[in-house]
Amino acid sequence: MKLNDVLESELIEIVIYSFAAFLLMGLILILFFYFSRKKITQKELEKKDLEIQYQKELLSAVIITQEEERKRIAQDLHDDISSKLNIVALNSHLLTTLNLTDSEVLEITKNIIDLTSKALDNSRKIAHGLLPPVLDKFGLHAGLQELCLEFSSLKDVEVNYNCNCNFCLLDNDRHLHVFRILQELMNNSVRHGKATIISIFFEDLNGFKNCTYTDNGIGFEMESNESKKGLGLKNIESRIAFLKGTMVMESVVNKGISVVFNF
Amino acid sequence: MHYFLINFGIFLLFINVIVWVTQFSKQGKTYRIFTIYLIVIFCIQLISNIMMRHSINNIYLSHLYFGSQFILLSLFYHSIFRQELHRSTLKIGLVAGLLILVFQFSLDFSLFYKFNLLEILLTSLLLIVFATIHFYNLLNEKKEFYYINIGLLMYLFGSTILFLLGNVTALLSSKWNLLVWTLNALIYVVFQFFILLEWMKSFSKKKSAKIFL
Repeated sequence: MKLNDVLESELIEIVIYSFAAFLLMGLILILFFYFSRKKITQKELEKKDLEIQYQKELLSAVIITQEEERKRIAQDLHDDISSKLNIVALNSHLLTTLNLTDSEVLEITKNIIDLTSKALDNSRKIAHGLLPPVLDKFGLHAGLQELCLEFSSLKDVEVNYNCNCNFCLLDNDRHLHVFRILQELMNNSVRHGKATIISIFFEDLNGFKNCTYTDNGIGFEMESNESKKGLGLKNIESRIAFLKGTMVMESVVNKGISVVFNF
Repeated sequence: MHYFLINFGIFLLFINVIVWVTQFSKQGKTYRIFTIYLIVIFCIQLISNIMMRHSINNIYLSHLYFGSQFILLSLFYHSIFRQELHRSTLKIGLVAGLLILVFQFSLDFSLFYKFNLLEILLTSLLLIVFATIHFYNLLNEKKEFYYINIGLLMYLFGSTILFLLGNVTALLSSKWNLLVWTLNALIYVVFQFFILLEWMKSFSKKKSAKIFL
């Protein structure tokens, strides 16, 4: 009887402790689940915030570029065209003065014709810079050929352009972005990279058009903050995002850069 | 089967002690604390095994086992935890747990000669809490001491219940009274496998330092 009592009390003790153990383990599990959920949601929020921050930066880059472009156009118009048209107006006024000799009239008209043709030329150049007519009428291939020709004739740089795919004229809206990206890259290569050889290669790859761009310039450090915040690069990124493509950029100091993107 | 499992568990523990000791001087504080834990537990297991073979009552070694496991693993987690809240929680848990046990033993010293259920519950549960906090910290982070944590949690979940039954096993018929300890030995083998896995994944020379699965 006494043994049974001892046994019973031991059993009761075990039951209570086991019950407590299971209960507390369950509680720990529930708490773990609760706090984990909280932590994961918080991490996701942080990620979303980062994304939003990135998009804001892109947006501000776009706005700044737009303003700079406007400034450039205003400057071009003011310096190249307005000033020439001003002189044309002055010369025209001169024509109205009395008692001009024939030779004087001839000289003034010659001036006027000269200046108007120059102004015309400049306005064509400005318009051309804004949207190359070749690109608009004959597609990306012709546009790029002209761009390469321009670069190799105006600047001291050798451009190798190779294209293994066809560009449809209907896609010209998208191709304009590709054109701009390459224009920006080439400008960067020449201006900052001091490159002497640039090569551009297009091919069809897995249903995408793939473009490989390389130069032999001084390159830049991928990790440095300077290159990360460049307006030009941001612009390229947002154009790539617009094309729903992907881009890989690699560069080593003094070894040039290579950019591969598809669209 | 029973003795085979126990001996296999001790054998695995022995291997773990050896492989963990080989990197002792090259690794950080956390690694060293864990290695010390392995060595201490190995000594206790060995002594209790020898005593068992000579039919000497070794049950009071269980207090040493639970106590040293509790203290050393708490220190282990203390050196892993980075957040101040977690560290202070751990310190409070460690000190409070030890105080309660000392108080309990000073009230009733006869507890020394049998399994102390409060001791088992308290030390195991606090270690489960620390291991869970570590799992929480591992979310979205690189997996540091991940396998040890899995093994320890499994071992504690299983063995706590088995140890709680410890005092009545002697009352079972001779056919069944080893069942509880066989199950315990089995889960201990699993625990040792995870410790070995941890060492191979994170610390063996071949894949030094860089691989965190």
